[in-house]
Amino acid sequence: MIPRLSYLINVLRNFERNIFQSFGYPPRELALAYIHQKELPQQQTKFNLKDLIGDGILLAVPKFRRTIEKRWKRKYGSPEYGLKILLPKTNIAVCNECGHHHERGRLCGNCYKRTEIETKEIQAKIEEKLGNNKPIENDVIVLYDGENLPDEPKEFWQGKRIIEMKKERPQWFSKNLLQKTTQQPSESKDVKPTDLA
Amino acid sequence: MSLVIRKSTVEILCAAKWIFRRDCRLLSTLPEKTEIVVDEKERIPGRKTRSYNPILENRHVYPEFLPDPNPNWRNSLREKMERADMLKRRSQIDIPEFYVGSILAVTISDPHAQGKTNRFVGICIERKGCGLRAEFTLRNVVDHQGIEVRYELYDPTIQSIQVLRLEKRLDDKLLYLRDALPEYCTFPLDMDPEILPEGTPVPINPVQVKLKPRPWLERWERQELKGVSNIEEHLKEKDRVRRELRKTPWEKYDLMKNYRKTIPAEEQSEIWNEVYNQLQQMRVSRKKMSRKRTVTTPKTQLA
Amino acid sequence: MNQADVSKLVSKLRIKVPPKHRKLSSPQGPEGRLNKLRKTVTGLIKYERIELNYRRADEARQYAERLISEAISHGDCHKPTMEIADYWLLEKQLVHKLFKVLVPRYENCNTAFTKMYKAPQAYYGRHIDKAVLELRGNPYPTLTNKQSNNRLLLQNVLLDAAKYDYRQAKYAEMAEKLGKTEEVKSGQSNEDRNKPSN
Repeated sequence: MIPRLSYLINVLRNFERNIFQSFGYPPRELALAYIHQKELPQQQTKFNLKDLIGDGILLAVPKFRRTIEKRWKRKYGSPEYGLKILLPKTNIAVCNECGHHHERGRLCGNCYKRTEIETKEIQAKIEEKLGNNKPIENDVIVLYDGENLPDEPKEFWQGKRIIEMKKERPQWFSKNLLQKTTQQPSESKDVKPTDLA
Repeated sequence: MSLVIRKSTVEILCAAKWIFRRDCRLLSTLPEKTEIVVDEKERIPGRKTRSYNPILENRHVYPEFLPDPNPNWRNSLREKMERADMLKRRSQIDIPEFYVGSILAVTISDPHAQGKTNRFVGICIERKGCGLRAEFTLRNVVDHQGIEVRYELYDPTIQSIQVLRLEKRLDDKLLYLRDALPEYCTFPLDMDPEILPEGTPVPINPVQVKLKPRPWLERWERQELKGVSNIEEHLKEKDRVRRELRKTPWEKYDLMKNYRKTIPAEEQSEIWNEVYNQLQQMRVSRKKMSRKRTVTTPKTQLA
Repeated sequence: MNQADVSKLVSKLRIKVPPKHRKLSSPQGPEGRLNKLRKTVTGLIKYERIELNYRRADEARQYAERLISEAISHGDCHKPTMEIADYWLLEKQLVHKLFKVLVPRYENCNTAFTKMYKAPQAYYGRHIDKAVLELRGNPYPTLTNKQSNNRLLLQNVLLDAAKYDYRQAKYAEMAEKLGKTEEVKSGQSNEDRNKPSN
């Protein structure tokens, strides 16, 4: 039936064409200028949260519920998370030298400050006097105001690096430390009164 | 391709002369007596250099007596007991001095084999482990098939360990032989022991092995191997560039890294003082036994 | 299971060595860590007393001790030791110092060559541990307290003598008392003995 239909349509077309060709085409003014096409409603996709948020749906989110024990620990403090209770410090000791307090196992702040200042002065003096260019071959000996080198022949001291600090020896810096570990300790038993610490 | 050389009778007789001469190399490089030697010539007056203790040479011959350097795995009691057990085992069987690169023949007891023993000959490619768990791996190519067998030094099922050729190589570990041409790893299974004259230092074989074309099992070009000759031929430009980037020249100056890998000399000398006498006695008695064996005529087995 | 490395001999360090090294992270990675420690060790040998963070001080202490022990055991003319000293000491005059000053100083030493103290906190709330690292035998004043119970100080000598005298006097008193009580007791017991006989 369909081929017959198409045959019929063809016949009609030919008929139309023949008429136009014989009697002339209709005037242009009658031609259609605008064809209204009805817009079909496009099938709208379902509302997808993924499209709105994107991969954000997979970002950090709690996987499990926090147990009450964990919540208490965070709220009231615990050794693992951080104690919120104030605990007294039991490791504070009193320095025997100066009487200031310091943590047991650490140096006393007051004593250390004093030693630090003195050390820095000596270091500055060493840098200033004994330059950075010569190769270092000897120990440094630090002498304060009015001090003499220990009893040794003068040849022993040649080449040794001696720093003379232009101030008085501090009370707490004992002179006996001048004796080097590599030197043999002196065998004299008498102690001169002036050399007492 | 394979080096299966059968020794002729002439060669065997030539080797036999060493046995009859009695000065075959059954002793190791260690000195007979331990004396603390201080070279007077090298001493600079006024300076005391640490005197070198020759007992520390034992560390090359018996490296498994030293404990694991990782302090997390140290236990002095266990180590002492292990050392005692090691000495007991050594009194039963002769575990000879050998190094990576020497050719060994090992017979183990195998319940399923004919004659209940199984013998394997191969070149020692690595030695690892410490204490009773000390191991060594032997490699050989048999019927065009590369075979590696790992044995424990103190395994009680081992019946004998025989050194066929005692020598050292340029590298500590010869794992690159897996990627080398098979001719460098084939050794005849019926190889005869090559006996060195007494007192000679252990020879270092300077052979440079040729590798097969890539792919390799490891990046041999990145390891500083001295015993390989033709790595450069097999490398592309990319490999050379990456090798340069990967180099760590500061590692050899990392003093603490080296310290953590070794046992300090003081601890070592304690260990050797403990163990040296017994080892020395064993060596001496073995030497005597072997001499006795060479001198006596073979007894007939007929009743 | 590792086999100890037998190619080199090292001397035992006289400080506590933790089983693993500290990373001391830096942009250059492990090389950067060694560079940081190089600077620290150079500073320590140059100034003989430095203050720094505890972690870095601990690592540098190990390396400094190793360097000095290598220098002592191998001496001046050993090429690998010279290379190591050249790498670790960035100022070349300190190589001279190491071999000419520090080695004779520490040759006969039985203890560690360095000392480390924990320094007080810089200010409250800052929890970065600070440490003071120094070489033994340096010319600066000591950080530890001198002997606070020095028996040889004059005051302590006099006090000790006074305490001794007091104790002796007390013992004498007690002895006298005991003697008296014994006499009394013996007297009593004699009377007791005499009584029944009577």
